[in-house]
Amino acid sequence: MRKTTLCAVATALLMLLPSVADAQRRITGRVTAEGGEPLLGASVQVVGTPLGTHTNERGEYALNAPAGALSLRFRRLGYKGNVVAVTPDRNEVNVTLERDVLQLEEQVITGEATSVARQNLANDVATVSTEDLTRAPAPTVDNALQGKIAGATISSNSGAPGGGIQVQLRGITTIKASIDPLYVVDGVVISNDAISSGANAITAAAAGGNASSQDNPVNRVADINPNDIERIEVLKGASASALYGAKAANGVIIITTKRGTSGRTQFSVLQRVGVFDLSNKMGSRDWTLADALDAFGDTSSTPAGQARNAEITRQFNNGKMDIEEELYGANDPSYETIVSARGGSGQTSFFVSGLLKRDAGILNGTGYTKRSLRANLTQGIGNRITLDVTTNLVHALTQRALSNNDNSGTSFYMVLPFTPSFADLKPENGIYPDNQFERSNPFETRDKLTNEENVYRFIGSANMRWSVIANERQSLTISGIGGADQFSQKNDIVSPRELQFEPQDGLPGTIVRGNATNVNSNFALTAVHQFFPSSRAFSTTTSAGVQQSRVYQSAGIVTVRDVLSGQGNIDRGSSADVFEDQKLTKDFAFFGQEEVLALDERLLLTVGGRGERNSNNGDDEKFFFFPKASASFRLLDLGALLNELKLRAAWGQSGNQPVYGMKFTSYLSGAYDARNALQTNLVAGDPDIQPERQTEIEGGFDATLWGGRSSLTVTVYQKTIDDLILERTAAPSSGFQTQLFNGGQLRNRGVEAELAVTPLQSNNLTWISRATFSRNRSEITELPVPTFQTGGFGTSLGAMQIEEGKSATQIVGNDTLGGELVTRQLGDVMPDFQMGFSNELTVGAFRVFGLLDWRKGGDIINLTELLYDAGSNSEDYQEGARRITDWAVRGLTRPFIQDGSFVKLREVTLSYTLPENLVGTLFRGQAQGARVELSGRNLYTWTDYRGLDPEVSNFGNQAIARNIDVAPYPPSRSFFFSLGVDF
Amino acid sequence: MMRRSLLVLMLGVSVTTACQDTTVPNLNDPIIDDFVVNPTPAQVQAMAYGLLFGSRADVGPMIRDAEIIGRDAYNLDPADPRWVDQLLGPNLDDADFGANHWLLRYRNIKAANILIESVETSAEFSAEEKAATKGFARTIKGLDLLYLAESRGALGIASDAGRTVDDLAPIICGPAALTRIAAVLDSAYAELQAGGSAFPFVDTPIEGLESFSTPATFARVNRALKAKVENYRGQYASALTALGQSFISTTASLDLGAYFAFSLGAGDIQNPLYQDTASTNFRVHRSVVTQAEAGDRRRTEKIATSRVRTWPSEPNVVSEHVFTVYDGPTAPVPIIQNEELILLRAEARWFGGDKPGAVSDINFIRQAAGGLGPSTVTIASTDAQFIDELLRQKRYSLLWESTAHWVDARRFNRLGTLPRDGATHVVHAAFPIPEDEALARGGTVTCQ
Repeated sequence: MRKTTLCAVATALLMLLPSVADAQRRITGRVTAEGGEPLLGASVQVVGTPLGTHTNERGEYALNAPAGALSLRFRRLGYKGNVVAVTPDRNEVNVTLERDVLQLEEQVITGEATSVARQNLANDVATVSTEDLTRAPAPTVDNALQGKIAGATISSNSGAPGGGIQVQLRGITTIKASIDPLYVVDGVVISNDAISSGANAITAAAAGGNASSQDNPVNRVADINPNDIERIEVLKGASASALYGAKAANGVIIITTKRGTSGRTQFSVLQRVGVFDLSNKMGSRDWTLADALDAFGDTSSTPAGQARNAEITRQFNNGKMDIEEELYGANDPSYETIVSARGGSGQTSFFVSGLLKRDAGILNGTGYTKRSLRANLTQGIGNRITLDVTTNLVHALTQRALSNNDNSGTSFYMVLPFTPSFADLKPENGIYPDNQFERSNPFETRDKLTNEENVYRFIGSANMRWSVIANERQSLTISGIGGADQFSQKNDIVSPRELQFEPQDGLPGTIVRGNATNVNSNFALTAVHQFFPSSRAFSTTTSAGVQQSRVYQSAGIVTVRDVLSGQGNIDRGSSADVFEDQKLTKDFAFFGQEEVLALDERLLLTVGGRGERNSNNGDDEKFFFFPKASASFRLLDLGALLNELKLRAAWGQSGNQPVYGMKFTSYLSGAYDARNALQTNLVAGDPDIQPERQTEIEGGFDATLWGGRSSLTVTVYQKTIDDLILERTAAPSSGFQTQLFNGGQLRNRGVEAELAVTPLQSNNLTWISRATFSRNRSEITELPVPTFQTGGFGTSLGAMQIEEGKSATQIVGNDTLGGELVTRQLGDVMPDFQMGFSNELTVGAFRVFGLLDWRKGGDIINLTELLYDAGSNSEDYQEGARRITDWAVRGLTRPFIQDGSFVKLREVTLSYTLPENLVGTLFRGQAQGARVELSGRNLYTWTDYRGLDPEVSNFGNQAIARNIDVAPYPPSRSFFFSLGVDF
Repeated sequence: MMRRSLLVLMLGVSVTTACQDTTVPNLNDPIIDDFVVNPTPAQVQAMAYGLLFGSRADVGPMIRDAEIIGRDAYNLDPADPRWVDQLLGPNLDDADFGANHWLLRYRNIKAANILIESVETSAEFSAEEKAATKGFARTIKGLDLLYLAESRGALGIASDAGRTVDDLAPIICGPAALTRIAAVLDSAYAELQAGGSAFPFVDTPIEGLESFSTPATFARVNRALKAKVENYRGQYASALTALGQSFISTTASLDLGAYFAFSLGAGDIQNPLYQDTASTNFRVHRSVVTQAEAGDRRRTEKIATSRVRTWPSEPNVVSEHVFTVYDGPTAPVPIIQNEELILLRAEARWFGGDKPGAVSDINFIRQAAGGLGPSTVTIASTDAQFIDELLRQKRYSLLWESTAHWVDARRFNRLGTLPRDGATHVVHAAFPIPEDEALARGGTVTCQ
């Protein structure tokens, strides 16, 4: 009954259908840029009404307008808007628009079907344009965002090719629930799941009671082709994202892909060729023979002991090598080919693109290959209906070998700490010697073990917009958008039986086959009504709609052991292990929003909200409501320096839904003597589980300075998360390890600032300089259960501890206090602050761009160094001996909790636009323009951190337990040369 | 017309959207609540075999850790220095090692409690079948409590699994814990005796328990465990009674006994104490080899020589010896076997006043170990001399199969005699009560 009522309410709004009136005169004109070239796609709108149109490729427009005096507003992305007063008798209006290098005047998407001019926006919504994303080639789209968004902490989990990157917006939003922002691509909520490869069957990393997810998985937003993206909007918290409800607590990243434009078809080809290069090493001890015999030899005088010592001496005398350099020193060519066609005629326009990309890893046999094909079609049907269809097919192949923690002596950086530089490892006549110091020879593993992940993905959407009413007083648009994201992920790990470590389990030869299927689908129906009273004192935008989504995922892994050489399938093996995990989530929501724009478009007031029920909640029938409200006010003409000041404040709530299965307390299935054998789950579910609730309040100002040549944005915010989904540690004598429940409170407070300046701006010379700053502090303000640890390998190795009154991301360890060994805070994962600096200098045909990413603070548990120290194999082994003694004998964790501050030179691009006559000669008049570029990514890192890379996470994407460094794939820098031609 | 049809379409779509059913079941696993009342025979079988699965889960790790602390073994796993630094070194973290030896046991005890209560409500089982099932479950519960008592020693254990996360059982001290285990095993014994001729959930004999797959024969395993508990308690008369009701035999194989089975089948696990001798991290402490008597077949059968494995930061932690106790990943691990029962009887007889019987049991074991001659221990020997000999025989008879070497050293106050490889090394007397248990009980735990 309750549902039926809501259905009726939600849809009744769609029935309000006033009559249609006709416009009374026709205004035509042309829009050009300062140089005189026509501007395609500029919007022309009668101020105070919804009447408007766009210019064609000649910059021309024609518009039916009401009689009488009126104003026309001209807008185009990248140009400053212009409002022209038009007398009743004037029917031709031509304008010239100035460049808006700081992009202060864009339209920003704020809801399912609404957008707001940036000048009125009440939230600090970050936008990133296609140009920002693709200046320097990036393995994945999240790489390309690093250092560009104030308030976003974007960190790689390792240096492995093909991604594995975490995006955190405005601090810590949860402890146990979903940690990823919601990614919406053209209205489709896409999956950003990271599905493990099953490498654990080889590495045994999760054996011994430690959490899983150590397979270094790729989070699937990596599949998106950054070159297809027109723009990205980042809603950082609940006050902006409330309309996305219980999926939006981690923020929303709205990706809009490129669309067709009417006019001549433009072809673009961009060819990139480059190379990746190892950028940091651990280094290792310079052994003497005496030391080597001392450490690895046998003190007994038995024949076996003497043979051992003779073997060590032989290997030592054969010479040393830099094993890291030999392993990770590959510089195979990488390439990227990007082609696109964009055009349209009549009511049809299209954007078609293709990508072929290969990033060769610095470890032979590793790499990342991506193929992407996109076709976006926009079709007008009559003059009131527009159909927008997007399709994207992707194939990604990721080859990453073995990295991260293990318990089997197989992961490369787990082997190196115990393998001295003189170890005999190189093959002779195709025979790999056994590593005498560890259980595997990494060169043999590199050359014979394969670990491949193939993802085939389709993302498609259809969006039909029906302009039911469009006249000078009101407009009503109804849009239905539906879409799906379907992918299959296949993981194949083949570890042949002749590998040194394979006989360890008595079953030599292992094949791991992972098969995962994911289907996300969602559908929304939205009505947007705009009303302009005849007084034109204000205007209102009312939107309402319903939305439904479904997510299904099945991830299965089959492991067979004792397989024959050459066997590739999982048909046989004397041991088979089968695992599957499924999840299914359904939700339904309704939402509404009212915006009032008044006082000559200087005041914007917004209220809205979303009600949502979700199958993951204990009660799937219960609706949870997430409201929001905001206001912004513009102060104009404040003087010569300060042109405009906008004050803004926003408040809102959003949720974080429980993870599938949290409401159940179940048995886990096993087998004993070939019969079903049930064990109780160590996690007790909560039948009353409900979404976490985030309340965010943000306020700030946006100033436009120096005639639009500078802008300053400052925002402060507070995010409070109540009803946290916690997995409290149960007394283990209850038979449960943890129990799920809602409770407690977490708070983030932070400040963000962005300053953009154009010190130089002329026809031939432009210099744009930007700086971003953000700082976030979190605190567990209420914890109804005892202090507990969430992540890490136990207190002695450093662990993340949730404790009332402390930072959510504190790292604790054992330390002495007054002579006694106690557990206390030794660090914090969260950085003190982050800054990004970018400069772009355009001189004639040359352009130089550079981006620095500075992270101050943020501690790391450096267990890679601990391993080197334990192996007495650290470059500074004498210091290492002290560290390991402090740890092992005195019980101190401190030596391995290290400051992860860094400054990275993220991007450098030098670009040259070829002169027209040269382009004409080279391409025989076929090309419109061409440019060449030299670019680099992650070229240099300044850091005191002693591990491989301060961007590291052994456990992949984690709410709290990031920054645990265990044997990662090492970092690399990349250099690319590019040639781009437009036809 | 078009507008109307579009509107009807949109209205229809939004109504069906809004009114869809959002109920989703657990797609992965059965829910415990479905098993607690009137379980089906198939559910009872899955719960009963689950108890064996659950009790087996920690047996390998527990034996491994006890053998490391007992200086019979090393785990020289370079990936995790804690195997050396914590188990041999001074700081045994209460959040790391040993936490699973507590948690996994109580998880299984809880599962046993669920089965004991739920089978009582079964409509399909007879009173005998219910009693047999309860006797089986309660014996496993006693076994789990015994492993707990062995890992915690004087620190004590929780007397039972908590009924809920908040309703915890008290922590009782070592002696009280043993009394409690004896009582649990006695209740189970009574139930087994009332359990008729067959377990309702057993169709063919259980692997590893082939000789003990009926209530009457499984009761002998129950008595064997009881005898061990009574020896721990110093109740030697009672131990001898229990031994008489067990499967002890000087004519049967010394290997006769109750075992945990392993297999390569899907959903099953492999013997965690087995590693290939060429690459294993599991190493034999050199003292096991150097202290072996000449001609002891146990030394040659259970230990082989492999490549030397060193520990760079600890020069005396080194071993070229590996275990060959298990011949493959499906080799079973004993719960209790005839050889251990004879040694338990030797102890019970010595301290129970039958010294000639004790010496005869010792010599029986020596004879079986490659024909070793009679022990130097006679009825005239001191208790200390007898204990030396008993512990030596137990060390080699139960090597890498039992926690005995460490537990016995603790029982007879001989932890100080175990060899230490480093100046900072200590011999831990017990695994600490897990940090999580202490936190949940307000910080510190003192047994009652």
